[in-house]
Amino acid sequence: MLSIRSIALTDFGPFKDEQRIDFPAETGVSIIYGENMRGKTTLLNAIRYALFGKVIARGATQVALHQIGNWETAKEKGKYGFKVVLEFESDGSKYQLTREHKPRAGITTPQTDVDYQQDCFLRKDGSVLGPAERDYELARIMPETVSRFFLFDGELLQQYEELLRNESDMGRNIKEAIERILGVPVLTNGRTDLGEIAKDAQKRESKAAQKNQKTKALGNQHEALLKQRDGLQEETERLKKELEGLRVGKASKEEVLRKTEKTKGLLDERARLQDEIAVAETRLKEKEDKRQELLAVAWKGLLKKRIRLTLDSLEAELKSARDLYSRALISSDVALKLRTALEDGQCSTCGQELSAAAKERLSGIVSESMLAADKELLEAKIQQFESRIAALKQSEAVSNADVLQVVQDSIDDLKIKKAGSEDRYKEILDQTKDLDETELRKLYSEYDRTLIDMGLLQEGIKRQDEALKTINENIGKVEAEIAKFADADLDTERARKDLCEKLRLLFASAVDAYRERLRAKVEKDATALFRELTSEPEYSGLSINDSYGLTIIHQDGSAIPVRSAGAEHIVALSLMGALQRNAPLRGPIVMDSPFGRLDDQHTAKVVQALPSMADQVMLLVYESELDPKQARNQLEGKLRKEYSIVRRSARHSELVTTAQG
Amino acid sequence: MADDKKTIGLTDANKATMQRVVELAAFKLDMDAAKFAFALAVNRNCEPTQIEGAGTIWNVGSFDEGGDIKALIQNLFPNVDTPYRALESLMNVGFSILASEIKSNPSVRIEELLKQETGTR
Repeated sequence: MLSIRSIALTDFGPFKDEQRIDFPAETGVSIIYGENMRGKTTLLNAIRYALFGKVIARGATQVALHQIGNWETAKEKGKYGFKVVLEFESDGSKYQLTREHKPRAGITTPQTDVDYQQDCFLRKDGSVLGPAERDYELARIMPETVSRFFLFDGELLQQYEELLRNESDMGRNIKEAIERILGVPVLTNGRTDLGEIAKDAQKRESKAAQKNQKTKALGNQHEALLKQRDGLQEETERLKKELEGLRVGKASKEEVLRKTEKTKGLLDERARLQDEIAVAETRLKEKEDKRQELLAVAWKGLLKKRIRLTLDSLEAELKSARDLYSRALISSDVALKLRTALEDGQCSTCGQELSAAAKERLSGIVSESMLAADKELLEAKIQQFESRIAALKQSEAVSNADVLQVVQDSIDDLKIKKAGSEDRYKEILDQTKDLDETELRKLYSEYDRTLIDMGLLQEGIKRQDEALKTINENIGKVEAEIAKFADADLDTERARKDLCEKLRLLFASAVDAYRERLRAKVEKDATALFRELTSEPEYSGLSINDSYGLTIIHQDGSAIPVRSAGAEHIVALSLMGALQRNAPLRGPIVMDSPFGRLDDQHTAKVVQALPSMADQVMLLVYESELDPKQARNQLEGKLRKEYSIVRRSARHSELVTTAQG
Repeated sequence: MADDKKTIGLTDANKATMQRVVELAAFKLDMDAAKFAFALAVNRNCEPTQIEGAGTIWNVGSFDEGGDIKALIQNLFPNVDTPYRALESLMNVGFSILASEIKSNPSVRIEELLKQETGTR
């Protein structure tokens, strides 16, 4: 079991010059207090750097190592480079691991990682190990693939949520890491080895068949099929390895994409707004053209009232002219009869003689009747009225004021919408002005490319598997044919092959059974820890899925579908504790700001549970996250030592031991 | 019939008003605004008068391509024997009306004015 004894840093981040802290040998909790930007995460990274030569930033991305050296030392002394010496114990041996980055010969001001050379030494019980032995020892004591369960960064919590999604590549990677820490590869490697031995036995069967004249041809055929199968399997393995590489790459890309989601969202929104503005401009132009068309004839609508008044008056005049004309027509008939009576001297109706007085009266009436010339004038007047009325009726147009208003309203709406889009567009433009869009787009295009390549590989693997199935069937048929012939050598080889195959199947079943048992144990331990940590009495436990994803179960038996950041935190800590309890590989837990998302009650419960999660626990916290007095009370005898990271300047922090437990 | 005008135009003041109206209401052509001004004057029951100081802007052939406005004026104002002169005077009067409308409400919208004049509000 790995136990860290001390760490010494030289010019590593804000830790200027050489600084060292010793950790107590007794089991328990050490707390390192430090406010934001003092170097808590850097200290966690110093351990990671010593063990794996890597530094991880927020967002799980690797940090360029040439940025790690202390800035003040570089500025004041022109000295670049940094070093970490980690002393630890494992399985009774004492180790001293030194990792250092220093500028290459001839480089005075290094600019990139390439300008540095890395040296790494591992002493075991006082003897320096060779590079191969060093790497083997380090991989055995603390494999990088499982380090996430020891070097715990609150920022990486979301990764554990991925476990709930069986199809997620990140979840798959974490699942594999979990199985590694739990020792599953021991069995899976055994299964693979037995598969290889079974294949060797099949080859021996071919050779044995080839030795017998009766089965020689079948032996040759068998050998050819086995070679064909080897080729297919080799290619399938290659494809699977390639797919695995892509899968790992995809998962890490997804992690980066997740961090750039907001930026990508901004760029997408910017592009969408650009389209919206362009569409609004086109529509605005259409509406404005329509409005101008309507405006060009709007004057006609304005004349409507005046035309109507004129028409009304003309129609009245026309009517009276027509009446006058009708009356004139009637009176001209009467006048004709009177003229005839005056000429004949007697009434044309009764024949009676006209008296002088009657003649005088009739002559007066006749003289008053309309003359033909007057009638013509009246006719012309009527015609004039009719033609004016017809012309005005043609000019009478309906007002388009309402339509114009509707169009104007749409123009106003479009302008408001467009202005809103333009404002937001400018805002985003400002927010993204310093952004390296090419890099981001490259990232997304690489991700898309990875998905396509993965699809192609999966299709290829599927075809290879089908071909393998066919060839295995053919091998089976040939083996059945060979089995019809009695031969002692053949029988022996066949028995060897059958035994290997049975053992392989046994291991395969054992892997499944072991996984099941492990899952059940992890679920049980995680549940116990979760119940200890949670302050919600209605939560009865956790349920585990195939990927070791944990779901909170309510006391009524139902699953809690969505959980808060705080609940996620508690579940992740429960999983970590359960894995520590079930893993053959044990080590310290180093936690960076683990209480940021937790309320006081949960913080207290987690602090109380820490000593049971691992033999050595190191907490990197700020005081408002964990009150020192509260920590002392809750941990009692299990608090071994307290340290502080003290500010000397913005680029200089110092590690100070403040209290001994 | 007396000799009518071959070209028509606006006084300087009314020309300035026309430019303001074209800008405010976004008429496509000056001519469209001038026809609007003419119709506005007719709607306000204004009668053709003599107008002094009007410059030349449009040829009546292009202003009233089909002769519809001429016919309209003749039908609305049968006593008028020089319809284009009447048109010129009425559009000048119309722009004077528009100038006072703008003065009383600088942000007046043509749609509002149109609705107000035609009683469609």
